[in-house]
Amino acid sequence: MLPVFDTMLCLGLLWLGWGIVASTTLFRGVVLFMVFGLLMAVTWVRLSAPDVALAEAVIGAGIAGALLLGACKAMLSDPGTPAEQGGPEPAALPRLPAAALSLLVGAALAWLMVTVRGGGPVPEAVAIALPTHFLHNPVSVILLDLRGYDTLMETVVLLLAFLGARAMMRHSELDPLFTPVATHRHYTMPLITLLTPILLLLALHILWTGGNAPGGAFQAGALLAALGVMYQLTGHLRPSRESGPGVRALLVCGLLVFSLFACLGLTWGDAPLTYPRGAGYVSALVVEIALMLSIGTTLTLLFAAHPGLKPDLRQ
Amino acid sequence: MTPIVFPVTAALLFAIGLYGVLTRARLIQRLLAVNLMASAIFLFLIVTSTGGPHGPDPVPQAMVLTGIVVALSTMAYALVLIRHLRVLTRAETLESIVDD
Repeated sequence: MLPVFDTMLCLGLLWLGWGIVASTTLFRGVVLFMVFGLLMAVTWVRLSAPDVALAEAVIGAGIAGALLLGACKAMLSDPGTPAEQGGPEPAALPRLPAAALSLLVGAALAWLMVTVRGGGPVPEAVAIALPTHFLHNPVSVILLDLRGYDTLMETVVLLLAFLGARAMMRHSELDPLFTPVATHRHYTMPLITLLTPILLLLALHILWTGGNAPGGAFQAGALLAALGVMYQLTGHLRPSRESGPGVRALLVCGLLVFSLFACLGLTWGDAPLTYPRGAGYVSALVVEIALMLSIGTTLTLLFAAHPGLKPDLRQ
Repeated sequence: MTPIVFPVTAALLFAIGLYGVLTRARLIQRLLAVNLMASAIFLFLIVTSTGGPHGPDPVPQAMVLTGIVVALSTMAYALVLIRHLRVLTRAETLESIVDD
């Protein structure tokens, strides 16, 4: 049964992949890309990587899909939309040589990948650290402790991406992408009141269990961003050209707390990013909460395509 | 041992993505193709993490998690750049700018 399922899953991935590359309109490509992300999440579950599956579902399929749909919208609403929209697209390279080259690379990779497909033991350092660690989810142990430096740099990359985008946004002053005109509060309030507690609960649950079960700051932050996207689409949060001190604090708090913690490691240990004896779980939780808030804010603002957001309390 | 279909799929997805990067001229389409190639690499990394005697290896899984966030950051920034390129130059492809 399972081999059949695996084969169908892989055929589905390949079919969607081809659909994305061959799509004639951008909208079609974007929708197929989102479905591809969901199918990828199922694949991660099949390959016993539930942490990655959660991240793919909320980040890869969810937030990336929202950003891409925003790009589709920008195509239609921005000034300077080319008249040849939807017209024939010139091929960057002739198709035949490109196909031959891709097939050659694919065949070489297939040979390589089949030869080295896993089966090795867990690295020694990890195998020693895992049984006595204060976190019980192996992936969280790697992300927060053994390779904490990677996670720190990852938050830097996310913040840098936003700062770069923010500089462009301030420079060109484009109109907001999503301005709900005809949505009345009576229609959107039920949705908000229903989904806000559910999403908050889900985000906090995923953060809280992240130490011992699949989940963590990035998945939880992306769920918070989903909430932010919903508030924008229903008009409860409006993009603004100014970013207040609160928004700025939320943006940097993850990086700030994590860096501070990394330096403090020198006072209670002999290297940066070490955890204090006995208080490891608490410090990991503090870092994760700060990371979650920053990631949620950054992703929400990236969707808004503006430096800041302000609540809209009009009735 | 992991079923052989997964590494083969990873290789083929990479090839499809490469074909897209080479042949598509519109920048957002090319960006989607690049992300497809990234997904293929993630798939290969996760395949190497499975099948060990003591359960899955968490190191490649953590690397892929980091990779997914970095790929998203790159995509978000690239989308902003593409949008502003179009607004400023009315171009959807890099080739058309070079021609002008």
